[in-house]
Amino acid sequence: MVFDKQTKQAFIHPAKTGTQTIRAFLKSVGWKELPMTHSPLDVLIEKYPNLNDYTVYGFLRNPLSRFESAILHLKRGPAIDKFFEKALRENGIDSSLEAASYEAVISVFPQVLQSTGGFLVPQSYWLNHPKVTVLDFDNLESELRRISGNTTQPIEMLNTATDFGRSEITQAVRDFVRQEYAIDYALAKDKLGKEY
Amino acid sequence: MAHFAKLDANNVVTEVIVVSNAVIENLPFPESEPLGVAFCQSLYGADTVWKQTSYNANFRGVYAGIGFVFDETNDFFVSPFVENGLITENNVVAPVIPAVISPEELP
Repeated sequence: MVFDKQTKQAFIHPAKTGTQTIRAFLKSVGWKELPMTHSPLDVLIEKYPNLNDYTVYGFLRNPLSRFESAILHLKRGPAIDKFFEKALRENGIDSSLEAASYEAVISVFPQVLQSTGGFLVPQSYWLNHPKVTVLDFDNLESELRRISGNTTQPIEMLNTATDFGRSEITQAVRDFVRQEYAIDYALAKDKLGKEY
Repeated sequence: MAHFAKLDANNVVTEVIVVSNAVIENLPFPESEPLGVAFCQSLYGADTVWKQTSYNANFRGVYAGIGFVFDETNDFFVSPFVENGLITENNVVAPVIPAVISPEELP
């Protein structure tokens, strides 16, 4: 979490929703950070009850693009790629990490989900909280500027996906993501009025 | 209190235990580490591998949790979320150690 004590604003970070970019920018304009980057709000409030007085934001991303971003992140590592590769190998996916298709990944999704931490957990895990104001990831830069009040400090996009390991987003993958992340699609419609 | 993470053969954290300050003779890190490691090995076996971790992330990046990996080269723990590192174009971890914030700065 990054927070500003003066304005009593804070950001929580659903995995793969611009965390590194948000942290770097807001810290560069004077916000502070708690060493619990991806903790959900309830955990943070339990440790820091004063957060009850804060306005807390979090970005919601198109579930399909977030799914792809997470898979590409798992493929390129560091560290987490070993867990990902092990989950694929142990479940019969023998292609290299780079070559493993998204369809192959979804064929062993429960095992991958269990082995790779929170990257593939629905964003609702963080955002479906009455105190969290959900923001549109597509407006990341303008929202950061609006909330921080800073219009001049550069915003550098960090930790963005490369082409390493990209695969075709087939209709089967689209259908899988829509079903697996139905809760996030519903949240987008409810909070942002968006239907991806 | 001090905290020590037990590593497996792949440097993955399998357990984190709390050790009394008396054991480490109230020494600061890194002087505390050999004392704590010896204590942990007396409990879990001489062949076990331990690294001290900081609950407040004062050293070695982040507080280690089960499943985290100890990066020997950079001497810090890497979480599956890569909380303490950015990934560069060359797939190299650039450590970004969270700044230690004082109690009055906490929310």
